[in-house]
Amino acid sequence: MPGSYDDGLLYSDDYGPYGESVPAEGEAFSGPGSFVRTPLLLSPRMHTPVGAPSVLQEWQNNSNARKSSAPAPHNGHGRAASYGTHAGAEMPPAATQAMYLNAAPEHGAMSRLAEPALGMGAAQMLAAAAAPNAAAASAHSPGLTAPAPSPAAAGLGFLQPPAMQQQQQQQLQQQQQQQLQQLHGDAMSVASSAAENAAAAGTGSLLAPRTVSNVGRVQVAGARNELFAAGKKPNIMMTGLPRSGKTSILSVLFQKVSPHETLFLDSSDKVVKHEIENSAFCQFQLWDVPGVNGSSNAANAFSHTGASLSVHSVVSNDSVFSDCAAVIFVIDVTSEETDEALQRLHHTITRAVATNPNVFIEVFIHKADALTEEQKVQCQRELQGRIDEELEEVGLPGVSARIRYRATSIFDHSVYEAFSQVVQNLIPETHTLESMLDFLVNNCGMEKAFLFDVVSKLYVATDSTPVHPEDFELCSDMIEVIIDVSCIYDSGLQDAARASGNAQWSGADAENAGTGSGGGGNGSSSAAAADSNRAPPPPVNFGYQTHSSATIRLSNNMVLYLKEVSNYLALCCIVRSDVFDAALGLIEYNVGVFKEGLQRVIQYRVDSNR
Amino acid sequence: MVQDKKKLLLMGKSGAGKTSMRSIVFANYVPRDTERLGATIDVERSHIRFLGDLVLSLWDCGGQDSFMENFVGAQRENVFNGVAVMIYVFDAEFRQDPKDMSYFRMCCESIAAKSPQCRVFCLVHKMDLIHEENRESVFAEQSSAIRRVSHMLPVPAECFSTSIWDETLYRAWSSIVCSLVSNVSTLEANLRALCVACEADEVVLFERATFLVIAQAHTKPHEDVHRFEKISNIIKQFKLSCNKSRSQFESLQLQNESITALIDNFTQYTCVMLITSDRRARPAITTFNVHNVRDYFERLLEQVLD
Ligand SMILES: Nc1nc2c(ncn2[C@@H]2O[C@H](COP(=O)(O)OP(=O)(O)OP(=O)(O)O)[C@@H](O)[C@H]2O)c(=O)[nH]1
Ligand SMILES: Nc1nc2c(ncn2[C@@H]2O[C@H](COP(=O)(O)OP(=O)(O)OP(=O)(O)O)[C@@H](O)[C@H]2O)c(=O)[nH]1
Ligand SMILES: [Mg+2]
Ligand SMILES: [Mg+2]
Repeated sequence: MPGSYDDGLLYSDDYGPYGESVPAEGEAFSGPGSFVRTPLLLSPRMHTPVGAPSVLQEWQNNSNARKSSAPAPHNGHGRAASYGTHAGAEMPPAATQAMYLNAAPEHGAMSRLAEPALGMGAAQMLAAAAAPNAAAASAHSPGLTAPAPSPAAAGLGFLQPPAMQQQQQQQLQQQQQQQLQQLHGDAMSVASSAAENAAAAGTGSLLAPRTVSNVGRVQVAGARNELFAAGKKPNIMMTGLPRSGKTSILSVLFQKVSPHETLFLDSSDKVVKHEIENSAFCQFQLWDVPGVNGSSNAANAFSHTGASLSVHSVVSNDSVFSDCAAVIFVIDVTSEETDEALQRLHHTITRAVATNPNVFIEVFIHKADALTEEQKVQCQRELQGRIDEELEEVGLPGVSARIRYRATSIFDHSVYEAFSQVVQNLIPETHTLESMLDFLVNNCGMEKAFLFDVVSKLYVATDSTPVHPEDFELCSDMIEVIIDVSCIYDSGLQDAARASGNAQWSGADAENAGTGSGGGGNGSSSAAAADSNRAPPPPVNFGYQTHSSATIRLSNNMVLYLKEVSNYLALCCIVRSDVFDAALGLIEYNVGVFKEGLQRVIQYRVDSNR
Repeated sequence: MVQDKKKLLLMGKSGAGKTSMRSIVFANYVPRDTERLGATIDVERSHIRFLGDLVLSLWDCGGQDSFMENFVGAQRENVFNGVAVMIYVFDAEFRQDPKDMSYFRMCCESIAAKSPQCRVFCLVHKMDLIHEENRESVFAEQSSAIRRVSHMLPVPAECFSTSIWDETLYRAWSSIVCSLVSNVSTLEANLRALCVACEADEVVLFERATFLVIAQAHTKPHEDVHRFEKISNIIKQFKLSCNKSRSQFESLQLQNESITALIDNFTQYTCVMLITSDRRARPAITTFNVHNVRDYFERLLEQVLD
């Protein structure tokens, strides 16, 4: 029965402590005139901008100097070479130079120092300083008009660091420098081990510059932030039985189709290649390879497609697998065709591994919204058991370790989390990013930090503590809130959003013209026609630096802190509120350091992939 | 303490989406949860405390024919007496249904006879199922059909096009609920003063549990007239996902190139949003101001609702 909410949260007989002191008749209602009698209002404008205290600036100069005199990025190259990997896995020099401040208690003084430099902290102090005055002011000057200038000025005075503190600052500065030296050393050693990891991760032919000759037609999804030369991006292939949900996943993740709208998606009849070009770490090609009913007559089923590339010719062509860095196989748990799906999965695995032994195989146990938690676990165990068994039979037991199983659904965050992990496998810099985030989290006393690609809401990196799904969900929802609210009030973002609303997703009319096997003439002209009809997908939010930052406070004493750190990349952290309030300046400073380091990682990535 | 109880009738064809709407607006359902709702049997009455002192007595009337016959027949007195607001929901996909229109006419006649002061809201619902380019014409057509049928109402019906999948739901329900708050203009005058004092572009007051818009004031024009409902929708969704991780949303602060936004718990039953585009604005001072006028608005709201 619905309506079970009768006893719900909104109705209670407890009226709460309410309204002992009703204002005198007429007082509250006489409009703005009476308004000034309410407690003091400060003008939020501080007409004198508050600059960073000199100590911080000096210090930044110092660290810049240090950076430029830091040892050249020597360690990366030598090591990578000795591990026999290609250049793509070389260690970016950034992490070696990332320097963080430490939030350890004995440096409490320092965090106090850093605070006035940064808007929020400063203003809080101002507000605190003004608060006692406020009561007095409102008592003495009934005619006070808003915006009230005098308390604001008094507050400003408070912000100028008293001369007495100068000395203290200098001492602190020295301490900091020492500390930085220490940190510097630490960073070096971690960074070099990260280099090894990165090198190891890079052994797969992730960035093999092989071009796929037999697919001409391409759909671009997302931000169109083209950073890499064609053929330099890893390929991800999605396959599975018909109606298993491949196109749904892609359209929800990359086309911003809302999940319930996927009900209207037609079964795909062609392979569609999507170019995903968002942030620097979210650059890849996605192949949506439709399931084909009855694989034996696949050729017949698609013979009528003529110039278009038939599913059969792609699926039967082993070179497809050799170009793929990852294969995602989608299994519909609500379907009865389990045996057929398993058979197809087995077939896909063996072929993929035979052509590219380094391929990542991801099995999405999809439409898991239909399952309970126990069923999910059980389903995965059964599936894994059967696949392992079969692989053992054909003499490929080692392959089992390469396969990952994930329960997914487009109706919750699971598909974002699963796809994030798929993408992270393909980022050679994952370990570098992780250790940078570890530094950040440890030095600022954070609980968790994610680096998000804001266009797709996939996280491209996180610190090394385990990911709790609730944390990920909160952060991902926060990004959505921030983008949505920003879009409403930012006309630039608005235009982008409007354009993306117009660019309707339509998998069915995607042409795959210009096949390698000839007859491309027809195909390409029709593709061109289709192209002109469709508005190009726009650059989406945060494509230009909006210097966004946001905080959300929750009742369980947690703060979500978001900061834009690069094009299409946002850092989202979970911090305890006592830590956050005590050390906001510190956090902002360290995030700034992270941002610099990240910039260098990205620059390196872009340069080496041009 | 005096209790202000307002009777709201929620009527319409079975499956039109009545229970879905009220569950989302008042009972923290996410849209997808409504797929599991069964048909309503007879009437489900619920009491919803709104802004503290206002109690909505919501009659969700099952839309199957046998129930409808009963409402306009044997139960007419009971159902249509003392109604403050009637909300009649049309399913956009079956909007032409002649039987539905005749029930609607009978309901309007009953309202005109028993509760002449009652305001009638007609929601053309499930608009998401209508192709985007036809939505406007479908709505216009249906509105004029509604006006023709409901000509006997002393207060003309107001029409909204709605869907549980977007902010249109909040737009309609904000209007419905605001029609019950008598002194919105007083609230808005005070909000304007706050807005000016904080040098903000706009200030919006939301009811805390439902996140429906109660009142707003702005000093700068903005082209998107539906932005507040969008915010309602966005924040409500976020509140729900906070609940999932067993915490509650308290405040949001956003700064970027163009604006500073603050959404914060305000009085016991409201939240406030301030948007400032002046880049010299200091968010903490805005927070401070909001904090300071809390008590004042607490008392003001109480008076407005009396
Ligand atoms: N319940 C549920 N349904 C889903 C989910 N993902 C997709 N679907 C539904 O599954 C149906 C088929 O989805 P498609 O994306 O067209 O499947 P496909 O794998 O692309 O199919 P082909 O193109 O024929 O290979 C759609 O009606 C989707 O709404 C999910 O996570 N949960
Ligand atoms: N597409 C779409 N479906 C909706 C919308 N609103 C409700 N529904 C669906 O409509 C179905 C019926 O909704 P109910 O709320 O139970 O209908 P009702 O009006 O209460 O029906 P009775 O109780 O029999 O009078 C549910 O499956 C909802 O998910 C909407 O805006 N769009
Ligand atoms: Mg498909
Ligand atoms: Mg119902």
